[in-house]
Amino acid sequence: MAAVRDHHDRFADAHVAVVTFAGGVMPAAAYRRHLGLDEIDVPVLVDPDRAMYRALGASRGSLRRVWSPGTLAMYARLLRAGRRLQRSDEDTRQLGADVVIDRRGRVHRLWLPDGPDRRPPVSELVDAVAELGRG
Amino acid sequence: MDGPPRSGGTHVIGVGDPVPDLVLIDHDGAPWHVSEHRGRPVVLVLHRHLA
Repeated sequence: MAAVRDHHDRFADAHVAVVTFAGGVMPAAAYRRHLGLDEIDVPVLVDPDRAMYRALGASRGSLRRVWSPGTLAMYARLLRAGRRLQRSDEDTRQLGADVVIDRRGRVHRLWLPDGPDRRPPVSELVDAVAELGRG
Repeated sequence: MDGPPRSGGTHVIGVGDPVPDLVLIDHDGAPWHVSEHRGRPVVLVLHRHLA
């Protein structure tokens, strides 16, 4: 998420939003401030029924995949970088997704990582937006 | 190429498909529709959980 914040200006005229399915541990507005997304006007959207997750095919991962050595190494990197992680009582097996939607509302690119450590680099998202050109 | 996978009776969309106009709730509690942003690219980063 920090990468999205740090490279937000590279998304040109795209509307960027972070979607989550829960707000139990931290309300969405507080989470937005926590990530510094309020400073760049990126909204945090809540999808309580995970309808968008299901529509895009973002599944739940196995415990082995979600807590793989790669995932643990990723969290270790975040901690070393000063990120404060919080205990979550939410569904930690729910996998994420990244989607770029074109100007007509159609899926242009879709990433469905099979583990938390397999998210695409922000440069791929930026490149996908660039493929759509300027409006 | 095969069509998008289907799972549990839920249609899973793929590249080129229209994104369903689902209602999400923004951080201020207001409804948010993908359709309201037609004319601009939209990037959605679907997070795992609030950790």
